[in-house]
Amino acid sequence: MVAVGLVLASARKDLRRRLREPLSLLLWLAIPAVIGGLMSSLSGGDEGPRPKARILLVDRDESLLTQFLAGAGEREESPFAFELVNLAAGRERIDAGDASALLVIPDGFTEAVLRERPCELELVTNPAQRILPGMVEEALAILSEATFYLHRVFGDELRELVADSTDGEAAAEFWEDARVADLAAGINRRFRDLDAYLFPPAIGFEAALLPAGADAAPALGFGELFFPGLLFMMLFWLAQGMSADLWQERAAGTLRRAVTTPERTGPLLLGKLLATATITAGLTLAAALLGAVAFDLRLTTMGPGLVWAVACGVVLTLAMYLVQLLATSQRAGNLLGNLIVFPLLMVGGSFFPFQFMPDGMAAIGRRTPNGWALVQLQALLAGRLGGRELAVAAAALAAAGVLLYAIVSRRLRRRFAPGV
Amino acid sequence: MIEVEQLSKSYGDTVAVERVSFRAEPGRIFGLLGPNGAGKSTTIGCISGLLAPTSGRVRVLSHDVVTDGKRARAALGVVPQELALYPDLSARENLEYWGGAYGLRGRALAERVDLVLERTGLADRAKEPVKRFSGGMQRRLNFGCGVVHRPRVLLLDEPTVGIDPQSRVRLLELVREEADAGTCVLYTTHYMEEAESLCDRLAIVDHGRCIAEGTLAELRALLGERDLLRLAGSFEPTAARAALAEAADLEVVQAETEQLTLSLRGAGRRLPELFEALARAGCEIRETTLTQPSLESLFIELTGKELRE
Repeated sequence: MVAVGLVLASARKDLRRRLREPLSLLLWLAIPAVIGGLMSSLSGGDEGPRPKARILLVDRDESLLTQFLAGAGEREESPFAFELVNLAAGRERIDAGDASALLVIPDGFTEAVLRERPCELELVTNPAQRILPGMVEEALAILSEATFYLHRVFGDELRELVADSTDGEAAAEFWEDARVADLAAGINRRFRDLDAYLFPPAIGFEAALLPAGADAAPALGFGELFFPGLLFMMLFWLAQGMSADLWQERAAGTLRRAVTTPERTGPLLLGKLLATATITAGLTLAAALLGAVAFDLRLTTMGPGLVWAVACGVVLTLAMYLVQLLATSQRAGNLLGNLIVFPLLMVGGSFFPFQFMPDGMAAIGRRTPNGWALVQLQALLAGRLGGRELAVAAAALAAAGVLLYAIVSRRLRRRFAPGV
Repeated sequence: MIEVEQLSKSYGDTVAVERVSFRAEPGRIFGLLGPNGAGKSTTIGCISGLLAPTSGRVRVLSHDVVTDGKRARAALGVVPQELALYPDLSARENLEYWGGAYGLRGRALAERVDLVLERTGLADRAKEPVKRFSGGMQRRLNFGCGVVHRPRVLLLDEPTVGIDPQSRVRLLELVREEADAGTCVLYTTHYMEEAESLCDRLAIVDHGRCIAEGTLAELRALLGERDLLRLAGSFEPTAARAALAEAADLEVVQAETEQLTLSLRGAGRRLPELFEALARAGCEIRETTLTQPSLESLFIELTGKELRE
């Protein structure tokens, strides 16, 4: 009973000390909030128009086909926006990074396509962009494939069409009704031949509905993608800040005095963790409110996730305590802490969501302690973590916490506090 | 009471405390007197549970500090040499926290905190953060945190270091009041005058060993009625020793090129005789200091050096 009272007294003491320095509490919340705000501004968040790949088009062919291509970009849902330019202006602007790509269509392009002859398109992409130029390259590759298959199916008609429409006297007779009807009948005949393969398709697709809680991840908005990682960033700063308090207690001599009390440092450490949990809960709630306001996240479904975040915050603080206890000075402790925290934040999904990482990096990140905890948090916030999985995760977290507590408590009492 | 038997504490090859034994009684102030680095704080550390003894035995109210440490520590109040306070908290909050650490709760805690604030003269500034206090006020609060739970055994490790004279006097009064109330007090210091005026019993320690123990009267008796005569000047140690070899009832405590320390009876009357003998040996005397029997002279007699060296 004495120990419980002492734990509460210790927690009250640490809370009083922390609340007398509110600036540090605000900083722990503000840094991830500012980073989140910047990322949201840079990416447009969930609002605003989708980014389009601006393609500078040099059309030397000036045919119906190239006009059709340029016109396709004017549709609202199109991911591309074409802008006709001359070659000099196009090169100058792509060099200045003013577009995603520069596409030069050579003279005779349409005829080459229709006659299935080699033809070279020139595509210059903007190296400062990564995703949009990639989309342009992919789209051109798909068009090239489509042209190939078009010739496999309607090759005869296409060759006849281009020969008749461009070849001297035949061109004059080409648009006569009988000629057009004959061409249409030929295409219709081709479709009938393909009928056995297309209706129904020879390739079958089987639709499988994944059970809830499996990998069926719905599309995530900016807030859902970034909020959990930013929350963990806050937890890391908080854990590092709280752990540095051990050095302050040591410098003040209070740790040594605590060792001479009947209960030694056990209640003091538990009190610190209780204070950490209280502060973490407060800041996590504040972060959730910010998330709700800024990213339209639903507070009503956040409860279990926030509890998980607080528990992770306490365990993280214990881990950071251990880092401090292994260091020989406060400066070394801070340096060591930063050396651990920053890579973990980068790889563990706090700066960049796993969804934006290369697969290999994401796989590594998910295996880091904070990455693992972040995955559980994302699943909890999305309501995708079942009871059994939650129990296993909670047990793993609790085991890590107990182990860390035992190590920290022993080292704190035997080596750190006496300073021997 | 505190019972220390053959206590030793080593750090690798370095022996900080070597086979120290003493016994401190309730209602009495037992002093550990010695220079810095003599092993006083290490001894206090072993008694308070801060350090594990390498060998020997320490009991507080019959509770072994190693095997029954929790009960032993529950009886202790510790006033460490360095301040051990939360500077961001107020004096009252500090006292409440450390009182709570020894199990005091509720009304009993509040009453003790009020009493200690009153006794330490901090009642009118109880709500201020400690970091705004003067050094003397912080020292008094440091003492208050050690006694707020009314311990039966009180350990004070050089509590007056770096303190103003007024606060020092008040602090020594507080220590005496604790002993008068029946508390067993162990007090370490390197200030002779503090030890002489405050302690009922003393142990003199040097290089981790206890070199003398007893009441002030018993320790003075060890020295007899001998005076300590210190001569500063220019000496040739071997020649000086030879010149004084014939002098009756005289002991050369220390002989160096610039200082000569002698122990003898009735030094004041024998100065001409000594000066003449030394002059014949080619010694030059520029300054003479005569010290009547005291702890200082006893320490020099026992160790051959001054306490503050």
